[in-house]
Amino acid sequence: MIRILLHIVFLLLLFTIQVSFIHALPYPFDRIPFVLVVTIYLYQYQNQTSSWWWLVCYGIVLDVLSISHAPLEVFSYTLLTGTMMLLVAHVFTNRSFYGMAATSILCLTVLTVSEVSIRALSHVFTSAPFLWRSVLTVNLWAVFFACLLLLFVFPPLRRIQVWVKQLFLDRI
Amino acid sequence: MKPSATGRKRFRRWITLFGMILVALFFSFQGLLTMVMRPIAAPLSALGSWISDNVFWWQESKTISAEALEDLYDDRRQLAIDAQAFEELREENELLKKELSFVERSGTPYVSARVLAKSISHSMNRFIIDVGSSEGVQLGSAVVSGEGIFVGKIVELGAHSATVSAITDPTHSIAVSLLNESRTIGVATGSVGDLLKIEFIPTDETIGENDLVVTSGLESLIPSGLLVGVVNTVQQETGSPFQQAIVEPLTDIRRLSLVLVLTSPDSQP
Repeated sequence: MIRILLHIVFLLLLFTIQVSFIHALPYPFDRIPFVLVVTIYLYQYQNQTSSWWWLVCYGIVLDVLSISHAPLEVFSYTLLTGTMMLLVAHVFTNRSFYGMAATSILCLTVLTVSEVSIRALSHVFTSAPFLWRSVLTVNLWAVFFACLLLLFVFPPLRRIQVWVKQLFLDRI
Repeated sequence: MKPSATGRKRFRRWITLFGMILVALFFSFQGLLTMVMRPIAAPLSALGSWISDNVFWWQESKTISAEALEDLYDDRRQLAIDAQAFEELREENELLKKELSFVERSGTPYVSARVLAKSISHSMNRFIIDVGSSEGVQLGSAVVSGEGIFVGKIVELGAHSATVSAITDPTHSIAVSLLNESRTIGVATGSVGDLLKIEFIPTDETIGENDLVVTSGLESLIPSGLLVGVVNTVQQETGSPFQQAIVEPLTDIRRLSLVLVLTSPDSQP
């Protein structure tokens, strides 16, 4: 029960940082895929496999708050989660920076394809504007920032890994 | 065959996830979520806006200082408000003489709200605020900045939270009029980038750069005369009977952390 509560608290904190803080930064810094990178880092590098459903929850949150780039984000993020699990299990099995970067890039590619497809469908059925270029641009920035985050922010985390592990990771 | 421990664990996770989806669908998850997020979301959003204002000033211009740029923005906003006041004073009625700021001049009831979350991109310009139907907010209510500049309208409503579609959202449209000689009326829609466009303006209407754009009051919950922006460019294709105006909004939603929601007297809690 405590584990679930910790998960929920951490999730809320993560989502709030993403939608309240990062989204308030000027373009293109508001494209930093913080939730995605943290989840991939924990899932692939820290082997915290229980974190896979965070991305699905993030999709739900985006849909619930109606602030997503495309409708039905829960679907896109579920697809992304499946891709992440598949890649980590069968393709990028090592826990290197390159592995995580490649997982992030491919996951964001799947997200982009899914968002563009849903936008296209939405355009056909509800005549909502089909701004596929903007989705592509936004997600290209997200790819860039994902790699940057992994490259510059997470290596220092390895140094304080023991501290992080004792305080948090062992409890979730 | 007995299910393994991993299998049971996975099954439990799926059940939890499914439960959360049910909760989201049936118990108005938005209100619950924003209520839980509020204590940290509001300061984080304000911090993001502050960083946007004070750290990334160089994004706006490479030639002038942050302070000078901010002063210019303030001047422009003030000039726009003054110009609007002048036009309306000259032509319409004396009640707007005391026009200094929107809230004082209009007497329209309002509730102030904090911005909890934002999603700003070329394809989406929305934000969540911490007031909802319990505070008298209605679907379609106008949202303005402290100076009375129109920011957007409510598109989704919870008991204590609401989603605002900003004027620059591509799915957003608002009935506007231009403060030109013929008081041209049109519909402004969000365009790619942080701009608006007013299409299908007959070519016999004279519109010029720097004409002010205000709300026309044709939408029930949006009063007339709220400043929207200034005309940046007027475009016309050869042979077309229409022209279009590209409008630059006077507010930047990235910089907003507090807004006012205009309510009707009947909807006050």
